[in-house]
Amino acid sequence: MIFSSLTFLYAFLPITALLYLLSRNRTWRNGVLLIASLVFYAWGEPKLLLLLLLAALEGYLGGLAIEKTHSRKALIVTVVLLVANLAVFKYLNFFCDNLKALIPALGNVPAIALPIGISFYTFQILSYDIDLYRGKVGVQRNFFSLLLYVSFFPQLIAGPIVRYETVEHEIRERNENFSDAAAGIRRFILGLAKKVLLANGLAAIPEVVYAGKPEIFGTGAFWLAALSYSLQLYFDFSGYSDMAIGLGRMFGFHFLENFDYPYISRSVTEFWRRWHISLSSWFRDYVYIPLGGNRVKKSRWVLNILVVWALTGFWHGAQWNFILWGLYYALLLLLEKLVLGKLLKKLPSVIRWAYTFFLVVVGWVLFYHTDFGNLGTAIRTLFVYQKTDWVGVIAASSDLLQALPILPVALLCSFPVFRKPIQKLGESTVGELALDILCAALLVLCIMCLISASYNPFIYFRF
Amino acid sequence: MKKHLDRAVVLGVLAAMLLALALSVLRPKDINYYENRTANQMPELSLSAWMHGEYQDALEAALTDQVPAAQGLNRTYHQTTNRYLRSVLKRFSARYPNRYFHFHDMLLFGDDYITFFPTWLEERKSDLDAKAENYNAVFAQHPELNFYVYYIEKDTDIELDTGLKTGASDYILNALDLPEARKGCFRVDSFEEYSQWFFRTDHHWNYAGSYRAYTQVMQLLGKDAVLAPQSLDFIADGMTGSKAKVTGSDELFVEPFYAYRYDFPPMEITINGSPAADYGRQSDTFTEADYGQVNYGSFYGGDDGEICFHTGNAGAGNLLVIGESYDNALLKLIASSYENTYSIDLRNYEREIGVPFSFSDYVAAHGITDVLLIGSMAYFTLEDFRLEDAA
Repeated sequence: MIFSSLTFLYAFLPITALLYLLSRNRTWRNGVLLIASLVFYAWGEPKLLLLLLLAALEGYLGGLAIEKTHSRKALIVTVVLLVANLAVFKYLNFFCDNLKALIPALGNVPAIALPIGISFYTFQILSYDIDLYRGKVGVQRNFFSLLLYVSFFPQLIAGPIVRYETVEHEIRERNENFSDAAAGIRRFILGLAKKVLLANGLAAIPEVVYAGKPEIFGTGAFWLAALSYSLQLYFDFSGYSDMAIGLGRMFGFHFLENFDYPYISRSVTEFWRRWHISLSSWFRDYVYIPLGGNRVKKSRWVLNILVVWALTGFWHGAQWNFILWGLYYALLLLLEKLVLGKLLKKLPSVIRWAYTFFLVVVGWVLFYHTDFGNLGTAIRTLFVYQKTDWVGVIAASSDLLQALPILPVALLCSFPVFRKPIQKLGESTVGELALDILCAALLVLCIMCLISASYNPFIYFRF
Repeated sequence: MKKHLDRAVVLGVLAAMLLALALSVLRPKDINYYENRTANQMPELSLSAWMHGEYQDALEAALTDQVPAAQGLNRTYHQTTNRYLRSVLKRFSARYPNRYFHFHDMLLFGDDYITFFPTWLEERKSDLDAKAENYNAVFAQHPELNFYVYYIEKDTDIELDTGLKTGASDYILNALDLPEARKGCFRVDSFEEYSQWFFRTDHHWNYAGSYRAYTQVMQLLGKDAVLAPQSLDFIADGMTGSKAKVTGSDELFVEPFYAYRYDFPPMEITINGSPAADYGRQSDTFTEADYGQVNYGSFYGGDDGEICFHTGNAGAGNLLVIGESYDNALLKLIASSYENTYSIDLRNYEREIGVPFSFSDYVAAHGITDVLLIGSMAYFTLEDFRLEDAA
């Protein structure tokens, strides 16, 4: 099930909220959330629910063993089992396909369906067991409480990656109130609007341009597509994170922020402090620092950076282009740390911003094209001038034409231009009422789009 | 105050969503009037349906139709977006009249014609071959009958910007085992011709196109006496054709409806076995109240499973027409020259008459002398129009 569906908005969420309100104590309320979360997952993946349960059980038993023995061995066994689980279900097809390309005599391996959200929930379980070993969190002896942490529906299928330490206390004890719930609803609606009105609205531009005839779509059109996809991806994923954070808050949980206006960044390093924060911090804390971080020889440090970013890319998908995309960032970060860092600081902000935005947009082109032939064409068209037949672009698809007016709105919304006015407005009762009316209008607009439009996949589902 | 507002937000949203769900379940709508179809209903839950995802899909589809104000929201969305699209495309289309502009799953061409995409021969070759095989078997089984085939070219048969033809008409006509004199084609070789003979917003031909087809069909059938139009009448101003409706832009694309008036000879008409005063409303006078209500089907007649015309014109022969909606505009005209004319629409025959259509039985029971197979690309490719009792 996805948040931007009528089933979620009209059935799942209100029924869950009602049952939650009617439940008398913490145990019952957690029970409602757990059952709702399992139904939520089984809605789209009935058969693969078992895999989720097994992964949670692995993490639970591993946790008990780690707590009991305090041994590195117990941690290693748990981590290996969980990573093996992820490797089989997410990466085995990739490895087999590549092996078969090298050795055609090998037989066919049956394709394994990618379980939704496996990357997210595996990373959450890993963080629990590793943090337990490090003594940062206490063991969870109640399997159902751990299962609730792993499967809690707001963050189950598309993050953010919530660390156990963030919710450890709130699983046991939390203070739900109308103020938090109302703030959660507002945040959810904002995220829904980002996803449905902006991200879905922009989707047609890259889709049409990249599939179009080369004699029509030249350099200008390809830059338009690259920019649109950059914004689409941002609003898709940050919208989902907003919805997740809002939903968590409705039920008394406080997740950490996952995005902080990444497109205002003035260096690639800063961009990664603002984009998918829960993932980059996860790799920092659980891979980069254990490898030695930057407190090693320079050559080893360079290797650490390359490994971490290759893995970051690979986490996004079992395709070579994701690894390439990760290494692209590794090189950019190394370049900034070794060469450009001091120079960048001397440049005017606007040039630093332009430099970062340009590189990030090009990076999303690598991210978009899983086919290297198409990727080559896209890069060539971006950097070797080809004329665009703009009338042909208008003629090519009414969906594209419909998407074009959304582009400047999305661009504007990707900067924090509305943040302060909204904060100020929220300080007075009249202002808050006005914001609530705005939220209600956004919700109606989203429902209108959901009823009318068939295009509604979440891009981040595949990760 | 803030506390009250927060409480109102939470309880208001929760109550609104629960009420909407309750209304959707307890007071479901039967018809989706906006999309002119049966509304999706709440599905029954079963383990098997859940495991296969069918329940989930059906529930989402049901909510799309059943939540309060769904149809109004849908209409508002399409009207708003189509108004914007039309305003932009109209300017471009007027400036570049020889260029196709995509409009949802259709195309705009020549300053306001909604057209289909051309269907290239390669895409339909196997279907055309199958249909030719089917018809040839029927021809061979019934040497006692005079078969005639008439292919109707339209926007699916020509790329209007280049004038390139798809070749489907020649391909199927060449594949049929009939003398050349028994095969005809309504040819469209340019946009100028297309715009003269077809509606802007509807997929059918207009008064001029259908009359041209009538004269060609009569020539094909070897009938010299052709009815001449008495007058060209303005019928209504607000016709929205099928193509405009499919794109959800009913009120944006309208055109006037003109029709030739004919002096039809008296004839008895039965539709699906019941006597009818007329087929269509070709003899009616229209008033202001008909604005926006008149369209091709309501004026010329619908796609009924079986329509019989009896003129009492003894010795003029009995004709069986097996076709699709394009022949609706021709039936009364053609029937004027036969003693009995029977029109069959294979898409609707079994459902409306109650028995499957058997070609051999039908021609024997009605003393058929001539058979006219008439239709467009869809007619010559879709399984629906297959003559089932052929070998």
